[in-house]
Amino acid sequence: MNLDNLRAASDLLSRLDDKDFDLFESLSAELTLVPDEQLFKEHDEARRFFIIEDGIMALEAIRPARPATTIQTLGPGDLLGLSWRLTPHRWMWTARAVTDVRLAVFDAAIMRAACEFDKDLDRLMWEIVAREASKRLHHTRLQLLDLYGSE
Amino acid sequence: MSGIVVDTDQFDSLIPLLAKRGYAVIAPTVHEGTIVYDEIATAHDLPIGWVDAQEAGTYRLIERNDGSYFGYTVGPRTLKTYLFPPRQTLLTITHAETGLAFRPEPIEPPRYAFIGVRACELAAIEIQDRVFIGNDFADPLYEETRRRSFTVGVNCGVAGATCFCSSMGTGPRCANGYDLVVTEIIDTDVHEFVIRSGTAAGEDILELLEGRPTSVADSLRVNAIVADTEAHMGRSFPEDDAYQILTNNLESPVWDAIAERCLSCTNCTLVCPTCFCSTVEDVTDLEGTAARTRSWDSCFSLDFTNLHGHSVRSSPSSRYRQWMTHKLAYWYDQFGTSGCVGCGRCITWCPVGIDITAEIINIETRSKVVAK
Amino acid sequence: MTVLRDQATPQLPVEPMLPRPFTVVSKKHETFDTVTLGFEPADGGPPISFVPGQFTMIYVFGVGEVPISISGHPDHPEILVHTIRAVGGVTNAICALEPGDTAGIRGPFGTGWPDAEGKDLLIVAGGIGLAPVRPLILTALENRYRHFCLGLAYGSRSPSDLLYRDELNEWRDAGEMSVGVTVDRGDSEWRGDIGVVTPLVKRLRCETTETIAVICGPEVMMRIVARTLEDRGVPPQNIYVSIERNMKCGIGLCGHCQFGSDFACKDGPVFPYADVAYRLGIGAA
Repeated sequence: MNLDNLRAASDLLSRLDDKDFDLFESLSAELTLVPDEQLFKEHDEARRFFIIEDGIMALEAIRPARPATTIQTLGPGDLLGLSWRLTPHRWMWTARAVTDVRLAVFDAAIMRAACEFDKDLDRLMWEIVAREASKRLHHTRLQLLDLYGSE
Repeated sequence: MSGIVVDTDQFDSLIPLLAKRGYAVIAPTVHEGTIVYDEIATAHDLPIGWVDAQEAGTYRLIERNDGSYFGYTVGPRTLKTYLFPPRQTLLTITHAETGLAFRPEPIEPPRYAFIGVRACELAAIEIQDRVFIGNDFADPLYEETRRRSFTVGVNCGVAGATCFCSSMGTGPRCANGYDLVVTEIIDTDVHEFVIRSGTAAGEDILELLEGRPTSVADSLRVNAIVADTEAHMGRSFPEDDAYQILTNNLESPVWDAIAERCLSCTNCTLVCPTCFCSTVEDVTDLEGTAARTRSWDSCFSLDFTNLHGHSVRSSPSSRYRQWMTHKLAYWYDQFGTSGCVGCGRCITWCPVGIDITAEIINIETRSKVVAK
Repeated sequence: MTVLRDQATPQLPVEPMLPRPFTVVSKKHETFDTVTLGFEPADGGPPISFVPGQFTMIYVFGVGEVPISISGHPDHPEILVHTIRAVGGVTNAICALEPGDTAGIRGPFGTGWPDAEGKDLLIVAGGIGLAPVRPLILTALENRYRHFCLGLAYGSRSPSDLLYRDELNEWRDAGEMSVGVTVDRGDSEWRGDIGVVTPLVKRLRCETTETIAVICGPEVMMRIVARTLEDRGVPPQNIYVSIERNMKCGIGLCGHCQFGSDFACKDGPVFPYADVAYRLGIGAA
C-alpha cells in the first residue's frame, strides 16, 4: 500500500532511507477495523506489527468480572506491536479498536528475515523498538506519578 | 548643613528636647545582657561605659567604665522592630449588608526619634525603603512611620569582630539618611560630641543645642576615628564577586555542608535589619469580627513554601541557599542593591556560628576545585 | 527570531491589600473536588478587569486567603469566574460557598499569558491547569483569525476529573481549534485517548518555530512537555509556563513566592520557559 501519507507522522517510517522505505511499502498491506473489534489477544503469537493510520487503538488487560482495563491508547502515526521483535514473540496485551481504525500491516517473519539479510536495517529496527519501549516506559511512569491526583 | 561640638550635658539634653517635641525616643540601652533598642527617658538609660565583644555565635557585654556613650557596635534588635512592626493589624472584617465589610486599620504610627543609628543601619533602612516604598506597591504603615521619624546617626568609633560594613560599602561613616550625625570624641581629658545636620529638620534641632562650631581640626579628628574603625574591621566579604559566586554555584555541595550545622532556628532572619518576609494570619473573635494581621516570617521555616501540603524547599540546604543567594545576589535583581549591609548580626547570633563571609569563600574555593 | 514577550500590561489595583466583597452568583460542580464559582461585586464597584493568566486572592471570612487564577472571558468581566480545587483549609471553605455567600477578592495580580497574534498557538494543560488557560482559549476562539493553527492538548486523571466537559466537546465540535483530550485511566464509557498528554501534542501538528506554546499543570508535567516541545523545534523563549508558589500577599512583599530572583506573584506566574528551565531542573530553587 502507499505509505507516503503516513511517512511524516510515523517515527519509524520517517527514519527509513528511500531504499528501506520502498521495502516497507512493498511489504505492507492495509487493514480496517470497526469500533470494538479485537486486533490481537494477549499471549497469542505476534505474527504481524502495525502502524496506525487513522483512529484510536487501545492496549488493554482482560480482567475477571469487569470490562477490560485500557492501559494506554495509540493513535495516528504510532507503532503498534513491539513483541514481534523480541522472543518469545507473544503479545503482552490485547489490542482493540476504540473507533474506526485503519492500519498499515507488516508481516513479522518476513521483516525479521529482511533484518537478517540487511544488518543496517536490523540495527535501525532494534533502535526504533528500543526507543519506542523507552518512551512507553517513560510515559507509564508519568502515569504512575498520578500527577493530577490530590497532592 | 552645619555642625557643632557639644559636651555631654548638652548631648544629654537632646533626649528631653526630642521628647518634648512629641517623639518617642528610641535608643540603645542595656537589657538582659545585650544592648538593644528601646524607648528611653533620659541619657542615663544609654549603655554608658559598656562595650560588646562579639564573635560567631557569641555576644558578651563588658563594662569598661570609661563613660563612653557609643563604644559598642550593634545588638540583636534592629530598627526594623519600629519601622516594620513584628505584628500589625492590616484590616478588620465584619458582616454587613454588602455581605462583608473590609476596613483597613488607620495608619497612625508613633513619631519615633532614633538615636545612635550606625551607618550599616542607615544603609539597611535605605534598603528597606526600596522594598516597602520604592517597589510596585508601597506599604502605607512603613511609609508613614518613616515620614514621621527623626534619625540621629552615629559614626562608629570601634569595629566589631563580625563587622564588615566597609566591604559592603555601607560604613563605618554615615553617608546619608540621617537628620543628625554624631561622632563621639573621647580621650583622657576630653569627652565631646561632633554633631552635624543632614536635613532641615536636623538643622532645627541643632540650633537648640549650645556648643562651638566645628573646626577643621574637629573634621580631621572625625576622619581619623572613622579611618581607624575602617582599618580594624573584623571580617571582609568579596562583594564584587558575590553575585557570580552564588548564582553560578546553586548546586554546590557546600550548601549541604552548611545545612548539616544549620538548625533552621531563624535567628539570622530575626536579627537581620533588611529581612522583610512576612506572613498573614486571619483570625476571628467570638463576636463575629475577623481581623487580618501581618507578622514577621522567615524563609527558614519549614512551611514557608508550603504548596498543597508539601514544602517546595523541604531541605534545610535549599532554605539556607535561598536565604543567602536572595540576600547577597537576587536582591540586586529585585532592588538594585545588595540586601546585606555587613552588620555581622547573623554571624554573632547564629547559635552554631555559621559565618557568611567564610561560607562564600568556601563556595568559591569549591567551585574552583571542581573546575580543575 | 526574537522573543514574543509582549505580555499585556496588567491593571494595578488601587489598595492592593484591601479585599472587596464579592457575592457568589453561580456554582457548578465540575468534579468531586472542584467547583466553578461566578462572583459579582457586592460593593457597587466595577468588575475586575484582567488579562488571561492573572489571578486574584480569594478570602473566606475568618479562614484565610489563597491565590486562584481567573477563568472567565476577559471581555466579559461582569461575572468573575474562578475554578477552585479543594486541597486545603481555605480552598475547602471556598468550595463550600453557595450562591448568596460573600467572599473577599483582591486583584488582579500577576503577569498574563503571551499575546500570540500572528503565530500558531498551542495550549497544553494538565489537571486543574486547564482553568488558568480557559481565558486564553476563549479569547483565541473569538479572534480565530489571529492564529494560523490553534490547538489544545488536555490531560487529566480520569474522565470524571475533566474540567469544562461540555465546553471541551463544544470546542472540538466547532472545529476552530484542534482538541486532544486524554486521561491517565479511563472508565467503562470512555472512548477517547488514555495515556500521558505528550503524544497528543505531537498529533496536533501545531509546532513550528512560529509557535507560541502555553503549558499549565503540575510542574513535572510542564517540564516534560516543555522539553518535548524543545526537542521538536519550538524555541524555549516561545514556550510559557505558569509557576505556582505559596503566596501570602500577591504583591511581592511577603517573600513567600520567591522563585530564584523572581516573585511568582508579580514577575509571574507566567514565565518564558527559557527563563525558568534551570531553576525547574535543580528543584527547590
